[in-house]
Amino acid sequence: MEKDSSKRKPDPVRMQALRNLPHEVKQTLTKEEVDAFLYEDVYPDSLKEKLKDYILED
Amino acid sequence: MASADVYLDRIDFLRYLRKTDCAECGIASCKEFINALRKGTKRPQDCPFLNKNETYAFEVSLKISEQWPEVSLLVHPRPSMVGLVELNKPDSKTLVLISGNNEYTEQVLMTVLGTTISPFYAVFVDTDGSTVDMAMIYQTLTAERIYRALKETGIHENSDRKELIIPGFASPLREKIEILTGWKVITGPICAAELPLFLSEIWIPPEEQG
Repeated sequence: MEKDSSKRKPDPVRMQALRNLPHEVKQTLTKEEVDAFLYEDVYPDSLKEKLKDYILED
Repeated sequence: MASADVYLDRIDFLRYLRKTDCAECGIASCKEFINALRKGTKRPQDCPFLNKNETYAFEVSLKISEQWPEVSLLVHPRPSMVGLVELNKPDSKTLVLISGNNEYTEQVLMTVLGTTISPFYAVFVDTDGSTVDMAMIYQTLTAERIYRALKETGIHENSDRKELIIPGFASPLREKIEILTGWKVITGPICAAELPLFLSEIWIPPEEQG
């Protein structure tokens, strides 16, 4: 079932990071991946793969 | 002439956005962005998250009704062809779309399907000429009639995919169709203009051909 994220307020830092992603990356993100980016601590594998060039390892 | 409701206001455009309210389009919320799309003050391309197919699907869904025939509010059933229409060289893996054999319904659906090069089977079930909404009221669109149409067109035996989309108004029939046919049944949108959005992953624009 689709999670309703409409009532949640995203972290402004995450929102800015999302906005700063290249256009060609943003166009590949599904609704679920965008929700995970904005609200979740653990990213699904599909999102990790799409962001692999932009994620810094600890 | 009073026009029949073609349910354009039932298209849930917001459902097909990421709903981030990121404001990159220059508008504060995705909901307001949809209003701007409807008014024509924004274009689908203004949303940074819509890919090429989705952008095209939005364009089609927003504009396709301009090509539809005007349908009078009070109209008798207008029976048209019953049976199978093959679009863009479908094969045994192709999705099947179900509709009724009303003349206007067929024109509307074929206009929408004409905006993609993706293959489809369209099965026009004998609804005694009623549009889908009225056929549900008159009970002339039934699981039994859909099953019979699948059998009579040969698609029931020839499809390996065994998956079909019924119009949104026919959603009460979904379970019974699945039991009768053994197929997976997806409830599609109420308005045919929403189909490109509903199927945006496979709604390939014509210019990509060749």
